[in-house]
Amino acid sequence: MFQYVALSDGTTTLELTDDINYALVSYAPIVAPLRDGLLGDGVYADATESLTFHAIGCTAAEAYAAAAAINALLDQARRWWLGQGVTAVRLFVKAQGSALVTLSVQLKGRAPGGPSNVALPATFHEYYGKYLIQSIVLQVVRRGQFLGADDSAGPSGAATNPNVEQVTFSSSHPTSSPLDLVIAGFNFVTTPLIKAGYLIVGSQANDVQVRPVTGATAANWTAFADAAHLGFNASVLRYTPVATTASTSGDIALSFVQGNMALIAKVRNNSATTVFTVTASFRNAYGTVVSLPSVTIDASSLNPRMVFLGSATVPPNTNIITLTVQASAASGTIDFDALLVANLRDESCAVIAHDDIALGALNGNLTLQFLSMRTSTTYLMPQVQLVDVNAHIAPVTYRGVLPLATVGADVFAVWTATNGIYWSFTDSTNAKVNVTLQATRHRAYLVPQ
Amino acid sequence: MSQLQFATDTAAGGALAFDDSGRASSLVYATNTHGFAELRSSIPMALQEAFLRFDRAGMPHQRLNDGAGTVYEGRLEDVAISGDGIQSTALGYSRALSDAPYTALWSSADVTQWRPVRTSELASRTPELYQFDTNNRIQIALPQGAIYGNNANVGSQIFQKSEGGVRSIIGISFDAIVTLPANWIFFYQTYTSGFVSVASATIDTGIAGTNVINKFYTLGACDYVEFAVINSTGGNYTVNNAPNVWRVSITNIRVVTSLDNRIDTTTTANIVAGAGVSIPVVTTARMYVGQRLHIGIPAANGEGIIVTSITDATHFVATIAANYASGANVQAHVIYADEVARDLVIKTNALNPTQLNSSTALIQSPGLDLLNESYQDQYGADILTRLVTLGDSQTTPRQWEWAVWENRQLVYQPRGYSSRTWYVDLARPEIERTLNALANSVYADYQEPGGRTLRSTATSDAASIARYGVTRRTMLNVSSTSTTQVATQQAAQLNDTKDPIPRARLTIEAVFDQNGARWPLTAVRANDIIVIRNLPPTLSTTIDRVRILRAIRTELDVFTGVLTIEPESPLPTLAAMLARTVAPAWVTSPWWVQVGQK
Repeated sequence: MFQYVALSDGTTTLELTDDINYALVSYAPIVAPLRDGLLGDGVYADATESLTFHAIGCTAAEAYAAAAAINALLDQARRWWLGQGVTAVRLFVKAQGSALVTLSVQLKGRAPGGPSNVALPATFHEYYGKYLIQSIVLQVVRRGQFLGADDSAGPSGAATNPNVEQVTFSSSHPTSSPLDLVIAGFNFVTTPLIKAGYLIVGSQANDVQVRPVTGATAANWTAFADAAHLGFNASVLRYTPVATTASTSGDIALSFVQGNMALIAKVRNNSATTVFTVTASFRNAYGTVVSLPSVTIDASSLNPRMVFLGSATVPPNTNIITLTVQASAASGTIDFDALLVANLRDESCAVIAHDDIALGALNGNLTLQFLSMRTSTTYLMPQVQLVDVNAHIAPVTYRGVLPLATVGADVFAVWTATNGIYWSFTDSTNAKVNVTLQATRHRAYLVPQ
Repeated sequence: MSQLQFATDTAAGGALAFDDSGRASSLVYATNTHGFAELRSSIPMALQEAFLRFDRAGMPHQRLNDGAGTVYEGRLEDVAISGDGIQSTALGYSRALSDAPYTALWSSADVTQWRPVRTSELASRTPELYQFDTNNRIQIALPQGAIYGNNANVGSQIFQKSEGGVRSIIGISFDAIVTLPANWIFFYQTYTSGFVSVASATIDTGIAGTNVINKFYTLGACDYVEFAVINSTGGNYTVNNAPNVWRVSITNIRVVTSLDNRIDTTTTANIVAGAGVSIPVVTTARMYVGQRLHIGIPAANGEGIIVTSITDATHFVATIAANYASGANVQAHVIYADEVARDLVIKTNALNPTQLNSSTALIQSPGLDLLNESYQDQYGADILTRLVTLGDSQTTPRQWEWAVWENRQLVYQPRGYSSRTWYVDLARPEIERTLNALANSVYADYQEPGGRTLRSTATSDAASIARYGVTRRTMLNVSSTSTTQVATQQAAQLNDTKDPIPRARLTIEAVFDQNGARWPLTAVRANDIIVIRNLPPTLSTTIDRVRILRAIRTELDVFTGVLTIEPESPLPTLAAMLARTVAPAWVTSPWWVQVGQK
């Protein structure tokens, strides 16, 4: 079935189908299922593969060495996964008649508590001058998905932030695949500190929405001109409490959504003493309301800030958001800029929050990279990194599930932040930083082919 | 599909140290009524890396995130190395309230804590020339035949706050009956620790007769308060009367360390003495029936009156002995539990700034005046756990809850205030009932000011007694001299225990909201309400009695997707149906609900 099966760490390659040192006897690939558990690192479970092969040599020593080499690579795979700083080992496969590039997958070595890497037979044989250790059984844990060719899309244009950027791959891919995203537009001189921000990603047009709120006026909710602070619109939505009872805004429209949704708001508490409690609610076309937990906007800052208002499972045909605010005193005001709405339907959608990023010794133009590390030879886990022109890296503290994934042909994403008195992330000239989006898809396959 | 990030930061708010989402081999986290509880995880790793983590300085912060939302956060407290890696346990930030003991006086009406000042403490004090008692009052009496020098030989009793306590005395109120010779002075003196004088003021001067007075004072911050009498006649004074004719008797004393919630209003019209007088004031905020108020002007003796009813926001009713012109002061010291909670936040944050958020925005006020509230070397968590049982000012007093959830922020609020409701379908119900936890009649032990134990009249829930066919009475220990506070706590306890805690084991596959939408199991937390929606229709008339539960603990195995919920007790309506079944003779495990996600 397979014309090529090999183990390699990039330096040492052991081809089990070369019929010189090895002969593949059987390989019945495991098709990884979706994980039972809830932890991240991909939605597909690891698979424990079992291959049977012969180790061959012109001498007995060569046969022994061939078998030992397999064990050494699998041992290395385990050491890599345990974080011992060695190079990752990958399993490479190519099925008979496949038109794809050779697929590969990272190995994690022996399964904890499982059998040895290799199980040797009781005897070995000599046939016409060849020494064979027959039917050696190899068992190893690998990641669930085989990876094939990489596709790139973008960069997108640099539209006025916040904007949902769209990039499209040249072809659609039906299987959920690891995705690397690169946000560009930063520079070590003009943006010496990248403020805490959010990346929201989706694979369909309405997965990521940036909604204006200015029109949601109601009693004590007014549009307040604030163009100087670089909001989403020239005005923000202001609530002025006249009592400490709760007050609800007008309707904020959004494109139809359903399922698990997350909501993020840009908020400014204009009071140094009044604390506001914000409860956002989704409402569908039939009047069904789902409310998020209440979130407190304390009086610690008079500047705009991004606030995660929570997530909820909303019914079909949901197209309205309202904001209910309760003030601790009938004084002060609270402003809302854009709302960011994220569909968290499946792994092709994500919300990633990151903290302030100090540039350290980075230079030149900078990119914020959300990397799956599925093809890395060194990194065990996905990473968020700030990378400069010399490929120097600053680590980023983030909250959210990586790796990102995508299905289909499109990626939609918005990255946005606030900065000091501004509703948007600004550079050293106090101008908005408008970022671009670039995507790399690692085509994934559950059935090796 | 909900996926979680499992990460460790160098500290709360610190940099990301490890993202072990893909490396952990087991992970279980729990929530309880005090917020995030424990998170237990195992991560295979080489010995070298394991020891690096084991020996890491600081207080790492562990978290589970669903997107940017927080599913769990806690501080990494326990780390163990075993053969294949590291096992760690993080505990929620409610633990921060157990990091250091707390000693503070908030309010005291306990006269037994008063004592005479010794000459060795203050040379001018001569307790041997006076007679003292603290039998539900503070009395300083002049015995027959004693001779007192002019402006010397002071007799006094003193109250000292707990040594090392973090709060200073700043208020006092009391009634006094002053029967002193002419030109004897009754005064108070305050001190900081070590008898360093802060302030002194004359309360009353002896006249030929008796003065009945009521006083309300705010004080400069001090550690001791002393009531004293002194001969100021200009010469020696010899007592020729029978014993205890000359005396000062002080009752209804209240010493406080906070003025935040004091009543400090004024009358808005002239008041004529009488019984059941409607008294107009600027505001009746924080007044309650049974409360003792001071009314008067500073220059006069003042009068202590008891609120018998509150008509509206500007009128209350009391029996009053004297006439008062408009503008008279109406005052009382009031201490609420939320003040204690806020102070615990401030003190804990000052000690460990990264362990508890300084914000007190989520602390609500029960509006229940606490007459006797003092702590010595108690942990904040224990203090809060007691305070939430005290009830509040609602007509049917509610139980309260405290917890630390996201952002390490203390929440102090009525029980269930922010609970969400989840709907589940039962697969294999197992319900048992026991009357062991039933208490449908409650009385309280409390104290009179002199320390003697008093017992209140039992209050009962007639419906519960009728439903279960038995009166089960329990005693509630109330550390207070306030009968109002006793009544409130008694009502809160009765409301909480009039239905018994059943035991059950329920297996369900998912949770849904009221719209039927399926939610991730990570959304379920302690204090949430669980509604079982597929009970048999034959129970139609009493269906609501068994289907609504409150979770006090949830535990989610992130790898198996199994959620275990431990309910504390059903809402009150559950009790009746359970009571109709035959009670088992034994009481063993708590009541469990198991939720499995497939």
